[in-house]
Amino acid sequence: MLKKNKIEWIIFVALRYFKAGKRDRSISTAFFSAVGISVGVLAMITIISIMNGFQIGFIDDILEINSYHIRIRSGEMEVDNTLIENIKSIENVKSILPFIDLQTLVKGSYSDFKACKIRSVPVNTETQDPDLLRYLNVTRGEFNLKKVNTIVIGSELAASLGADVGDTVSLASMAGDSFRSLAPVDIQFTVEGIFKSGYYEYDSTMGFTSFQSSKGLTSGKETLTYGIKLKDRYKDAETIRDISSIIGAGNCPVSWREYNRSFFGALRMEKISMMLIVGLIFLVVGVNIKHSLDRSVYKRRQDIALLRSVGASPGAVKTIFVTEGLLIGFSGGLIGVISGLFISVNINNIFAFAGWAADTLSRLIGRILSPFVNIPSYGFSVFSPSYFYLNKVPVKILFHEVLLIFFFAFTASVCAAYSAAGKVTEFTPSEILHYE
Amino acid sequence: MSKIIEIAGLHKVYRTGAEDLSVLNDINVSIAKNCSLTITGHSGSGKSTLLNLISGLDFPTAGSIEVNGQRVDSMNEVELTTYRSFYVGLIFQFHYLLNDFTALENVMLPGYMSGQKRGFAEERAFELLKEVGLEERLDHYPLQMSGGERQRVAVARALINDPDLILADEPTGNLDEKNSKMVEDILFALIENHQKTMLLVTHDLNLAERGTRQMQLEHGELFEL
Ligand SMILES: Nc1ncnc2c1ncn2[C@@H]1O[C@H](COP(=O)(O)OP(=O)(O)OP(=O)(O)O)[C@@H](O)[C@H]1O
Ligand SMILES: [Mg+2]
Repeated sequence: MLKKNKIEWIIFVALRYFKAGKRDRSISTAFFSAVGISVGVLAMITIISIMNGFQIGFIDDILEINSYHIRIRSGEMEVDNTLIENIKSIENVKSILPFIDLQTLVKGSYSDFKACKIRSVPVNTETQDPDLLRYLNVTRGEFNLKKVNTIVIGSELAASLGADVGDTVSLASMAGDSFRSLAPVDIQFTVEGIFKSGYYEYDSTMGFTSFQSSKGLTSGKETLTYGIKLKDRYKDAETIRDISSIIGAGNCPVSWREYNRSFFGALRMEKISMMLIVGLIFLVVGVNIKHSLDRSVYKRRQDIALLRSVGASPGAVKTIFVTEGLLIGFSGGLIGVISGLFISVNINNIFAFAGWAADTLSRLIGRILSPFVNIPSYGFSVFSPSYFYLNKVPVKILFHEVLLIFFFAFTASVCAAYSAAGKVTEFTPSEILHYE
Repeated sequence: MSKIIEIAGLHKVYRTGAEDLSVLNDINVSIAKNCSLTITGHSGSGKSTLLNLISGLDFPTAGSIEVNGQRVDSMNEVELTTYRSFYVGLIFQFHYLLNDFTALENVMLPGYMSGQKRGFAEERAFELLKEVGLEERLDHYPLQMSGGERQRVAVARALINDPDLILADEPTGNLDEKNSKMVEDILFALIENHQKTMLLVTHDLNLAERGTRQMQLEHGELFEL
């Protein structure tokens, strides 16, 4: 017989049991289970958010600085301004910049030759592709290529060349249009700016110069590539269709998904394996919940027998315990989500604090021990710029992942509760009521 | 007079390891509506076993039990659940109450469980607690009450679904004389007022005398006293 308010009374009883745990002097098992879930969710959200931060940082750096969202290889050597205007008029296009990449060797006054990719761009790059400058992050001098034979280079490259803003460096390249006429050329460039994008490879091997300045380094027959940035990079297929309809199918545009496929695939793999490993937490948490609910069922076997004897079906009693698991999963998961988000958002402050605390502690210990041993003091910094290439931990919280993690935790606890609730029918009420 | 319980050829054998323990041997009895039957017998004679069989908490080895014309011994789990919520009210020796629930909630819960609206069940529970003299203790938890008070709560609870049959297994076995007397009085008065049939198991011969019919269980059989 199905009763309309069956769920109502089951929730009433389960809620009471869940709350009763808190009054219990022997802090309730439900409480510990909920804490277990919270810690799991917290850890997973924090780890994944930091991982996202690094990965998305990489991806953005790559797309914004070097590879663009869509590339068109034109067969031309001269910039086609009507093409640029036409493509700019497409709804999803944010910017378009023509460029030529050159492989060169660069040498500072006192350094060896270093390999360097020089990208030559228009002199008004800052207006044509403002995001490039934002991501490059010019820290010394400025991104100004208006004077002939000026160059902007990455900070790591500058350091290894021993060059600062205003210094000159020599660029060497092979110029000529056939092997026979190839001749080494060596031109002096003045460093106008130094950028520090945070992406080591670019900071150590990339430089920018103007079309005019790069002429001397080349055969003059290199063809242009147009780098296009989109407002929504996931609508690349539509935009490519729009572009093709304007410029004809000849020089086919290529999307970022294609020329970065293996790298992005690797990033995704990395993330999935991390999720799986951290997800093992929930296996542990699930087992823990099952044990605690087993105990809860055992502790309440008198109640169970009594409920049965006054007209509760075995299924209803089971549902009470499943509901308890549900409440554990929900409350634990919610607390985990809230604290996980809090920690993720404040991770840099927390690291700073941890660094400060470790520092203080070490100095304190140093002072206490100073009569006996001489401990040199060095400052702790968890993310010291001198150890790590980044001086800030990037964090990116993705809503659907948080939801997924919560769902994981919730499911784990409900499954555990379900398996523990099976114990309810393992004893008959008459035995319990009889012997206690 | 119409019969509420018909028991025929009832046997109960407990199989514990190697030996079989035959507790009930061929019980045959029919019990009229609105009577109060008291059952005495020495410890271990099988009194609780008999009540458990009638309430469907345990199953007989052989024989049949009919309550209100329904065979209890062959009911499935769903039928038993309905049967226990609507047809019998149980009172145990150790006044089993749910410790996490107040007096009012303990009484109201079987009503709530059986499909009554919560407000309605609470109202009825309040009326019954008033009848057993506990209207002041509605929000008290079992551990805040005396043994006698708890047993009165259990009596009120047995009546919440207005069952035809009350099964009481040594309801005063754990109480002092004064409390026993009070619970007994309340129980018999309620049975009278609400026109219930009661089976009451007890050690107390004075209490047994209050039944309209008295029987003794010995060697697995029931004798009229
Ligand atoms: N589940 C069981 N398994 C095995 N033996 C049982 C079981 N329940 C009861 N018994 C045995 O059956 C016999 C009768 O038990 P029962 O509880 O019915 O006696 P009782 O008359 O109620 O005794 P008391 O007056 O002490 O309550 C006892 O010997 C008891 O040990
Ligand atoms: Mg007994």
